[in-house]
Amino acid sequence: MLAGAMSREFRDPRDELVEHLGALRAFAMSLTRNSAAADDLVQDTIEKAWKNMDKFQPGTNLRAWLFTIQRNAFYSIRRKAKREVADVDGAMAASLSEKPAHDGRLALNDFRKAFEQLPDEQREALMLVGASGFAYEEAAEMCGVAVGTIKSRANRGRRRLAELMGLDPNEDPVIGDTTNDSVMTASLSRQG
Amino acid sequence: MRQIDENLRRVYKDDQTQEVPDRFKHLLQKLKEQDVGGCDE
Repeated sequence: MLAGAMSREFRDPRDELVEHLGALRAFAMSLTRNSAAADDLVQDTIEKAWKNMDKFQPGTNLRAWLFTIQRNAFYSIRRKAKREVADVDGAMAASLSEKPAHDGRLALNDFRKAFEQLPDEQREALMLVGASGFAYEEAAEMCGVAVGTIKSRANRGRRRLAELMGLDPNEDPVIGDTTNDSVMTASLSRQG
Repeated sequence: MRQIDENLRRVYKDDQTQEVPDRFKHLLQKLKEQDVGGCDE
């Protein structure tokens, strides 16, 4: 039967959702900068995706489709809540009061704080192309903007991050494994 | 700026590999059950 062949080729995307939960949470975290808000956004995304699953084209990139739903949901919530939201950016900027340790490695937590200071569109572009590995073309489509716009946002974000971290071009700022304990602690405290 | 992307990937991977809360598994289960219920009507 053709249906049998189809089902072997394309799994029901609903069954695949569970495999994207971690990525959705990571992307939501980068958008909201708050673990409770991130989880609410993921829930909203799953419900919207489930309801609109007939619009997903089997064989195309499910994660990209889910991320698109998630970012649209984020900006929709953001617009509605704009008047109620406190000065998150200001609070975040204040929290980055200490200079990063210049011991050849960056503390991952400092990097997170610097990243959180970037404007929404730069965080989003960097998460999509820098962290998640989407092509510029895919990211542009997901954000509904030109490829050049995504490139420009990502590059501005990278430059700003380098500035915030006080990076020296000759320095190797790759985070060492020895930072993992503090990173885990930071992650766990965010979860709480 | 390759090093920036490498750090981004580390942050992303760190967030991505955290254990997914049960609320999402329960949500998926609930949605699945609602679908099954809808098909029976």
